Amino acid sequence: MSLTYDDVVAKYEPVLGLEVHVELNTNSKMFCGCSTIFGAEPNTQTCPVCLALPGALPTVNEKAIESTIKIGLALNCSIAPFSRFARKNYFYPDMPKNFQISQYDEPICVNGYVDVEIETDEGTKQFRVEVERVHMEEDTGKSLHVGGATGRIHGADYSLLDYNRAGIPLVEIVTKIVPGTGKYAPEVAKAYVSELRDILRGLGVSDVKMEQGSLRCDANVSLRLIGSDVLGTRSETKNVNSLRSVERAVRGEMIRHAELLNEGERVVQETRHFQEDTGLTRSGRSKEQAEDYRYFPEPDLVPVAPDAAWVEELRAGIPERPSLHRKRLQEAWNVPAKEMEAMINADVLGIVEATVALGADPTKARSWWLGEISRLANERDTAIADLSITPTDVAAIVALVEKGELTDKLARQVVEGVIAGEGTPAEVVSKRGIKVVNDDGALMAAIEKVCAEQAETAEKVRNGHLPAAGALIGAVMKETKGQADAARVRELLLGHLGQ
Amino acid sequence: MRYGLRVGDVDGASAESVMNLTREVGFGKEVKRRIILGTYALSSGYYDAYYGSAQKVRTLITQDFTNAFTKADVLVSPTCPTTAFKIGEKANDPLAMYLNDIATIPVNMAGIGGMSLPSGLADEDGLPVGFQIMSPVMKDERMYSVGAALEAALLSKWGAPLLDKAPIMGGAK
Repeated sequence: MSLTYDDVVAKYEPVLGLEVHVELNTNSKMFCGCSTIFGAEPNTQTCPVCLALPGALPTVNEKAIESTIKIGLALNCSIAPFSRFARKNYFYPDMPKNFQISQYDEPICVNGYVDVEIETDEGTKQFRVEVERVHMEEDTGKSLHVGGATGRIHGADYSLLDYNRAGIPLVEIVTKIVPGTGKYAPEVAKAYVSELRDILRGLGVSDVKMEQGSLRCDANVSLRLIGSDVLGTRSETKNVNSLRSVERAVRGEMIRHAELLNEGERVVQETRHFQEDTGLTRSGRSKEQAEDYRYFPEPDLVPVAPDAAWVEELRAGIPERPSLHRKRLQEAWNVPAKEMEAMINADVLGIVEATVALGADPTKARSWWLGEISRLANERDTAIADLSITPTDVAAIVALVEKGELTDKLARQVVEGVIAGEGTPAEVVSKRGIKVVNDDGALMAAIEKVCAEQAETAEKVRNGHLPAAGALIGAVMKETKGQADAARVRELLLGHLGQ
Repeated sequence: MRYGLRVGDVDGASAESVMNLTREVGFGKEVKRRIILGTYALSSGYYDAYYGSAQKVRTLITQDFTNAFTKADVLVSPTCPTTAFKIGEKANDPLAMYLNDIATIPVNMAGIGGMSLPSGLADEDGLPVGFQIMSPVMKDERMYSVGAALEAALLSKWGAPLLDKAPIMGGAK
C-alpha cells in the first residue's frame, strides 16, 4: 500500500532530530600536525599520532577549539567553562586507535538555537530549532571494501584504507528533538541545514561542502499519532549529501514509517542510508542491540577550560547572522527576493556589497556582477572571485557611465579589458582609446550618412513608423564604433527625420 | 598486529578470525581478565554503578590525601604488603595478587607523586623491602629531597648499595 504525503501528515506528527558533522578548515589535524588538504595521495598525510602507533600522544589543536567556540557562540550556545574529551570505543579499521577521541558528557557548547524561516500556506513562518550540544571530535579514515556483494567489510576480498582524513577536526552539532513542524518537517530540516551552512560559511571555519563531505547531515525521524505525546521509534538516515536530499530523506522516511505503522508493523531503530537516485533509504546497521561505545574520559588530554575573557573576545568577533544580514541588504537595496537568491547562488553577494560600499548604485552593481561579469567568468570556465576584476574596478566603471563618459556598451569593453589584465578601468579607457562621441556634429554626419544609405527606412520613420528607427540607430552606433550615446543618437535622429 | 605475534593468518582467514586467534594465544589470563573487567565496568547499564561510582570514590581518595597533606609534608608507607612471592605462586588467586598493589594504587588514584626506595632486607626471608614516599600534586621536588636524604642515610648505614647484600636469585642461596 502506498500512502501520499498528505495521508501521512493528516494522521501523524513527525518528530525531527538532526545531527550535523562539520569538518573544520584548520591547516593541521585535531591532535597532530598533519596537513588537512583534501585530495592528497592516500596515506601521505599521516603520522604516528593519527596512525595510532604505540606511544604516540595527542595534543589539542587550539585553532579547532577556537572555531568550535565560535560555532557555539553563533548558535547561541553557552560555552562550558570546563569540558573534556572522551574515548568512544569501537572496533573498525577506519580508526586505527580502535577508539575515536570525541566528547561525551562534558561537551564544549550546550543549549543553543537556530531560528529558520520557511514559506507555509499561511505565509512566512519562523521555527526555532534548539541545539542540544556542539562537541569536538576527530574524523575517521576512509575505507573501501573491494569484492563481495555489499561493499561492506564482511565478505570483502580486501579493504583499502586511507588515513589522510583520520584525525581531521570534526564538530558535531546535535539538535534537540524538533516537534511541532507538522507537514513542514522536511522544509524545516532543509532550512536548518541551509541556515547552519550559511552561518558556518560566514564564520569562515569550514568549507561546508556537502558534496565533498565537509558538511554531513544525519536526519533522525520518528512519527507519533497526532495528539499523542508518546514518541515513536526513530530511524537515523545517513549519506544525505545535499540540501535537497535532506528534504527528500525526511519526507521519504515519514512516508516509510507511516506505511509500516498503518500496517501494524514496527519501525526498527536503525541506521539507514539515503540513496540519491531513488530518494529512498536502505537499511544499514541495526541499532536494536544498542551499540556500546564504553565512553570514558581521554586520559592523554588535559580538560579544555577556555578563559572567559577569550570567549568574550571571540563573541565580539562573531559576524551578523547571514540571514539577517541579507534581509538588511535586501531592504536597503530594495531588491526582490528572487534577485537576492540569484546573487547568493552565484556567490556574488559579498562582492556586490563591496561594490555598493564604494559608492556604486546597488542595481547597477548587481547587474554587472550577475550579468556581464558572470557571463565572462562562465566563458572562461572560472570562478568570479578568480577574475582579475575587483569591486573597486566595477564601482569606477559605474561612475564613468553615470558621468556620461562611457555608454553601457563601451563599459562592457572596459570590463573585458580589466579582466584581460589591461589595467584599471581608467587605463583600459585610455589604452583602448575608448570614449563617448559627444560631438553632435560628428553624430549628425553619421546620421546623415546612414539615412542616405537606408533612404527607404528613413522614409518610414519620417512617416511616423518609429520602430524602424532602431535599425538606423544601430547603423549609426556601428558607424561611430559604438562610442556614441545611443539615447543622444536617437534624439538627434528623430529630430533629423522630423519626429 | 603489525607488532609481535600474528596467528592464523592463512588464505581465506578473515581479519576478525586472525585477530581472535592472535589475542586468544597472545594474551595471558591476567590481561584477558582485565580487558573483560574494564569492558564490563564501562558497558552501558553498568557504567554508573561501576565506572561512575569509581570516579566518585577516586575524588574522595584525592580529598583524603589533600587533607592528610595539610598535616604532613610527605606521607610514607611500605611499597608492598609482603616481600616478593615466587613466580606463579599466586596465579590462581588473582585477588591476593591485586592486594600486592594496595599501597601504591592510591597514589595513582589521587594523581599525586610517589616513589619507592629499597629500605632493607626482611628479617623473615632476607628479601628486599621497599619504602614509599608520597608528596602532594606538583610537589615532586619535595619527594625527591626526602628520597635523596633517606637514600644517603641508608647507604652510609649499610656501607654499600642494598643490592650487594641481597640474596642471589635463581635458586642459589
